[in-house]
Amino acid sequence: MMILFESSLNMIKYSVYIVPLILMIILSISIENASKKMNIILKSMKITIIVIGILIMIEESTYVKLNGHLIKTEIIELFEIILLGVTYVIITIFEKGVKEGTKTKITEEGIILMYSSIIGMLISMEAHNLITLFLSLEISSICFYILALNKNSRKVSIEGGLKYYIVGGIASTIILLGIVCIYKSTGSLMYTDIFITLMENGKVDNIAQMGLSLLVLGLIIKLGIAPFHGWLIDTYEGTGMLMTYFLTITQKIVTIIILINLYLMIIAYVTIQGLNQVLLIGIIVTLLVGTIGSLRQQKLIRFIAYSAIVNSALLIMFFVGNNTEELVSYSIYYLVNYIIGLTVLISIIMGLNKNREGNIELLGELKNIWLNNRVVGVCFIVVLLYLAGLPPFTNFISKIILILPYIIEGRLYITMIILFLTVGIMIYYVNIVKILLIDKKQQEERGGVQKLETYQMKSGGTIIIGGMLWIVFSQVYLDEIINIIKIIVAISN
Amino acid sequence: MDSTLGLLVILLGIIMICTLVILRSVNPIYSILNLIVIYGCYAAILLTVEMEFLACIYILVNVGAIAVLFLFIVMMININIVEIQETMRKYNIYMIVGIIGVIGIIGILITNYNIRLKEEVIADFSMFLTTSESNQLTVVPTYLDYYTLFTETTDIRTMGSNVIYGSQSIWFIMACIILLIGMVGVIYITEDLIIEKRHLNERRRQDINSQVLREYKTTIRNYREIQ
Amino acid sequence: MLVTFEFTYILILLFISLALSMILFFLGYFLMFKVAYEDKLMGYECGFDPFGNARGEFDIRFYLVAILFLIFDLEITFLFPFSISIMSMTLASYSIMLIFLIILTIGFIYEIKKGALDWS
Repeated sequence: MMILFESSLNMIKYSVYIVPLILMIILSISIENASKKMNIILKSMKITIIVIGILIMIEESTYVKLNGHLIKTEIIELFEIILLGVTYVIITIFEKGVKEGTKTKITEEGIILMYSSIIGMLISMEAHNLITLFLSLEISSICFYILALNKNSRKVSIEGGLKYYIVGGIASTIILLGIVCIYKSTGSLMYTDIFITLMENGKVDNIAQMGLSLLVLGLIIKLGIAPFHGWLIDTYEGTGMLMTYFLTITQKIVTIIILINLYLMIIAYVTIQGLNQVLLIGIIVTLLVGTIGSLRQQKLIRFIAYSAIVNSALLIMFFVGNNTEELVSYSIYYLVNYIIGLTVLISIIMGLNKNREGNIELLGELKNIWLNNRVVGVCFIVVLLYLAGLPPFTNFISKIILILPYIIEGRLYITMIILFLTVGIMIYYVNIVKILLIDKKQQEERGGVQKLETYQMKSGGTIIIGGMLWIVFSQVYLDEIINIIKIIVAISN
Repeated sequence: MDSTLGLLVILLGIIMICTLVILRSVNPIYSILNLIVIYGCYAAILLTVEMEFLACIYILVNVGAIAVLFLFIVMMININIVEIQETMRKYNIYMIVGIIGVIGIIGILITNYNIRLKEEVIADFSMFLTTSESNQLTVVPTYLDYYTLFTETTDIRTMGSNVIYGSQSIWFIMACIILLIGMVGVIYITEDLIIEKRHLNERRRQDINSQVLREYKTTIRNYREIQ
Repeated sequence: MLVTFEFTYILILLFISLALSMILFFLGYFLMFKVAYEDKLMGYECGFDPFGNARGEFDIRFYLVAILFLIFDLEITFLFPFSISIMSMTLASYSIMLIFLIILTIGFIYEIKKGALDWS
């Protein structure tokens, strides 16, 4: 019966993505009162996110639609819901900021651009055709180029936005060249056709190898792996704390799901010379840059950017190994842990309210948290140690199971280097804990605090409590969670 | 085959020379004019593969809109020519590496590019680029090939008839979203500048309606007669 | 076949126009002597040294108009294949084109209301 109504179902799927966009544009013109406008647009954005989330869960869980353009499996469904959840969190923080006044400024066009970037990301995760992938990546990239310009701090954000635009344009061009090379050698643009034509001959064509590796390299430049990491630090410094959070998590989710799709459908069964070595060099250089670069940082945002680079390098490691499904499921588990940890960290930082306006910028300002508010200090220390990967928390296990399978394959040298370098990034997290705990004692002993800024948690309580519950209880149910993820990956293969 | 390869090599050579001039020239307007020459040469390359629609659209959109935008930017920014000359010296190494890369890509393109042309076009072109043998002036009876005349289509028709708007319509709608984002994004970036100018200009505005409808009895209230 | 045969005439047109424009451009350059010294070429500001650049400030509204022209130019390029192959088109394709035009019209109304096209 679905075949009869297929074209109308496709129309409904188009319109669910496009009609809210048009409605938001019409709303932003027609309402005159400025504060009412923002409230109504924020509420409509929340409602559309909820509606899209419900529709994703109601739909049949695996389908191929639109002449083979879109395909959905279990992994994609899981990450679409995580993506929508992250945007919901961000919009609630914006709403609170708009109510209070001037803390986080965003105009209504910013929300329209955020929504269209979500459309681009949802389509690019489901893409089964290379041109659909390219166009949807362009939609989300153009939105991010414009969103990277912060209205509050103009000079720094313009420099960051310009660098992001140029590097993103070059990365898109490299992806396009890779797509052209694949089309020239196989004659088709869909993943299944490419896989079949590449497996027919014994040896893969030279140009097809070049095409696939260019495609992967273009995606990796967008992720920020060294030596192409320079733009990322400056861009994330220019945008505010919230936009940094939005950009890191969404870029990571989208790029890693695209790479998982490509890997499970094409690259795992095809031997490409040289790609593994290049990616390994990239990962190791990224870890080096992450440890050495973050030693002298004074600002909190740059530190978060360096840790984002290191985590994305660790997430790529499934590409380089020999086991197809096991490492993919471990990467997904690591990604889920990282998202929850970063969410809790950002909600603590954004929730703190100082006497003067603005967020915490310098690391030296963290000293006063322990003096004022013991509970917030404890939460902060717990989240930092969780992100660093110290043993009682589950992030340690997720890092270990990512790195240890290489020993079983026999690559001892690489695992040794990577383990050393992950300890290196752990050092800087513990340094912040030291600033929190020990520097305040020195301030107390020296004879009182001159200007004590009072910190109070104004918002974000539910997220912090939920995150803490995850941090505690995921250790108890560790086996169940990893098995669920393995089942999800095995179903979608 | 030979004459078309000769044509390709000439056009690619012009493109290479123009890119070198773009990178090395001091005046930015010279760079933009060479960019326009590159667009024209690429349109000529597209003509050799029988994609006339794409060539026309290429010139219309790229030269008519994008090069104009480049010119506006060059006019907006006050570029000091002496500073460009001094800062360009440290980029020489990058230029050399870039040129090697471009030569490599063009080499791949030339060795893998198959062009098929009909016999008549080769005969027409060989008046200007002569590499072939001397069978230009002999009279040969030609018969019309009705089958190819009947089934021949231009590239617009193959694109339009139910490909873009039918089976691959998702690409079309994504292009629509990209254009919409362009319109919204432009306003997001230039909002502050436009609002400033509008507030400056608003105070100077005259409301002709209220000026014409003004009446003596409702506006003048106090007056004193001087005798 | 239908089209490529006529390009030879366009090639002749290209050569003649190139030759004519080059003759007109370089004839003055070659036939005249040139004397250029600093006092003649400098800008005139009532006898004083020029204070700064002689150009006025560039209004950003020109750039806005150019970007909007680019967007609607691309809309026209999508209209070309539609107008040629309309006889072999189904209802679904026609309605998709209609949706495209309506979406871009709404974008245009948004532009007008926000004041991007005023006074220029």
